[in-house]
Amino acid sequence: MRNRDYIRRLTVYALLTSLSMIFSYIESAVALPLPVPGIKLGLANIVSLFLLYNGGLAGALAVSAARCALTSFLFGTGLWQLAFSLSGAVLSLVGMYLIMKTGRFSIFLISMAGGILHNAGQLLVAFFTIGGAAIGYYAPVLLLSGAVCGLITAACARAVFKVYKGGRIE
Amino acid sequence: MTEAEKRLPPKREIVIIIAVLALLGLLAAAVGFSGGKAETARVLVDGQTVKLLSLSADCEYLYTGSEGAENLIVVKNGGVSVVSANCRDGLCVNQGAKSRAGQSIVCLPHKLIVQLEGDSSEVDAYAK
Amino acid sequence: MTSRRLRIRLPLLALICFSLLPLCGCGREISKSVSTFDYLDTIIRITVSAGSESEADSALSGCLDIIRDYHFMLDADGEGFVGRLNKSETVSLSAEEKALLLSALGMCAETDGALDISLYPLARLWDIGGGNHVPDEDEIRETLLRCGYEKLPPVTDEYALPAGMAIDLGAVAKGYIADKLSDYLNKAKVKSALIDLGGNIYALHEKTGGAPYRIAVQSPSDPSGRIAVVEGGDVSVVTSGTYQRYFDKDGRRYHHIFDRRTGAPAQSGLLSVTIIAPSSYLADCLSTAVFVMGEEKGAEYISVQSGVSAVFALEDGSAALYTGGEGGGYTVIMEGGK
Repeated sequence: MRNRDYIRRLTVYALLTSLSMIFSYIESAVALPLPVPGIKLGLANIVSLFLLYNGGLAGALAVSAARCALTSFLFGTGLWQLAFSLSGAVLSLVGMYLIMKTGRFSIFLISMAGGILHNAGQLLVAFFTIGGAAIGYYAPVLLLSGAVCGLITAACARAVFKVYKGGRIE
Repeated sequence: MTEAEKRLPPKREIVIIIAVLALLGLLAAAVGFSGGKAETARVLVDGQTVKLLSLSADCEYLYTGSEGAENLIVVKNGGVSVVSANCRDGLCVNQGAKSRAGQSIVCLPHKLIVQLEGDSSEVDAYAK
Repeated sequence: MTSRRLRIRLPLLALICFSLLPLCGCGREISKSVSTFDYLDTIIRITVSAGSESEADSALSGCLDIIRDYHFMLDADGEGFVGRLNKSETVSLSAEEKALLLSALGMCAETDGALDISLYPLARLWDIGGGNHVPDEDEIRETLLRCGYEKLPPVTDEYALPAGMAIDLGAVAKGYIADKLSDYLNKAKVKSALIDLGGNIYALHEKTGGAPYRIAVQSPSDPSGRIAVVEGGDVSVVTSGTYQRYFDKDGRRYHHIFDRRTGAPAQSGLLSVTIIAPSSYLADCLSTAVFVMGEEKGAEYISVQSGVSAVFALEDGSAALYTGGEGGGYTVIMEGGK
């Protein structure tokens, strides 16, 4: 039955999905002309972190998957690009959830790991498709940038959490 | 988020974070400075070699792929760069000129990699 | 564990296992090679990869035996069937010798004489690499009377050449032997091999690890440079070039690839022709024939040879690639921006 709670959750998730899409858009609009493809701030991860702490893995995965799919359809980037972003998102979310569940680490390490895993997932897809030594050449730089961006998103998420007064979503 | 989670990370964790960053940084530097001067640039699309360019002579190669994909690859002064491309992000052009073995220029939308090879591009035999 | 945790942990475990799988692919492979100057008037180098050192050793020694036997058989001045025919003897041809002779004569006919195995009298006259003699018109004309594959009688079990004629299978020998070696190595179940008979290359299967063999085509003007690279497996690369055997006199270069129409080294505007094909024998035959044909006729000829590619090195320093249709299992990568 479509009860109130269902509608509430649906609305929250829909809002968060659009929010993360906006984040994606903002960061690509101000993209730094760095010589390495794939270096992104990962601002959308702020939403993922929020969901992980306040909702659980399923919700975070759903929103990320929706974001990837919608972005791909809206901007016509193609199936291959979709696989690329999905693999990074899934690997990163699952990893972050597992680390979070141990209860022993703060949001900073969790988000750093998430950033690293996100880029690692993309590197894996690239390795299995276009392949080549290029992957090994770019890997350390991409993983490093993932780690650094993870730390930055953690700081942003913390700022959000400090003012967030609502309860858990699930 | 619980009050506990809002605290700053404990010292132990900070050490771990710094260690990971340092490790990745070292790896990145190591890979970046490895490799001698490159001798050839191999253009791969979707994992298949479509062109092997010698870096000893200035030349140009226009790659045209499916759906009108185009990358203009130029060899000049022992280095190679993607001078222009009609891909979505143009990141391949931003990557500039590379000249060391092991480096590469990647155009993800076109699934194109320009891989620089040095001594590893040795051949197994000479037909003469 | 709660079922929810399991749902997350299991796929993760599977992912980790899956990514470790590639490491299991490493089988044992021993690689050994042998070099020799003893046969075919050139340097021979054979490299094989097999499952064990003894397998590799036995494969290599088997190869040397084969080379030695064919060197004896095909030597134009030796005691094998070619040498004896050239001494005007009547020879009982074995089945293989008969087949080879028929096949070679067939190639002469197919290339319209661009390949001609009966030009040995001409080769003796010029003696490139020996007396280095530039004959005059009369000498050439007289010698040409004793040349021409069409003048040879049909091949029979008891065979003899007409007086004054002589044959030389040198233009096809290395390719023929390379194919025999690859048959042998295939039966010996070696994993991979690289055969280099004085620059006549055959690559058997792929290299250890699955990478294709890379065979460079030497630049005619620069011995350490290359004009193309062939990547692939089960492929042969054979070159005929002016730089292989020649002498210079009075500012002119006289090389060893003769044109039966002039009785002199072929002037076709080419410095070398490299044929890439799955059969080394075919590549060897065509490299000589196509060189004599020149770029235009040669390109036309190649275009109907399925699975064959040719790299022409022109006198002006440029290089061109021609292919005869699909197939081949190899890629030819030209150097430079062409």
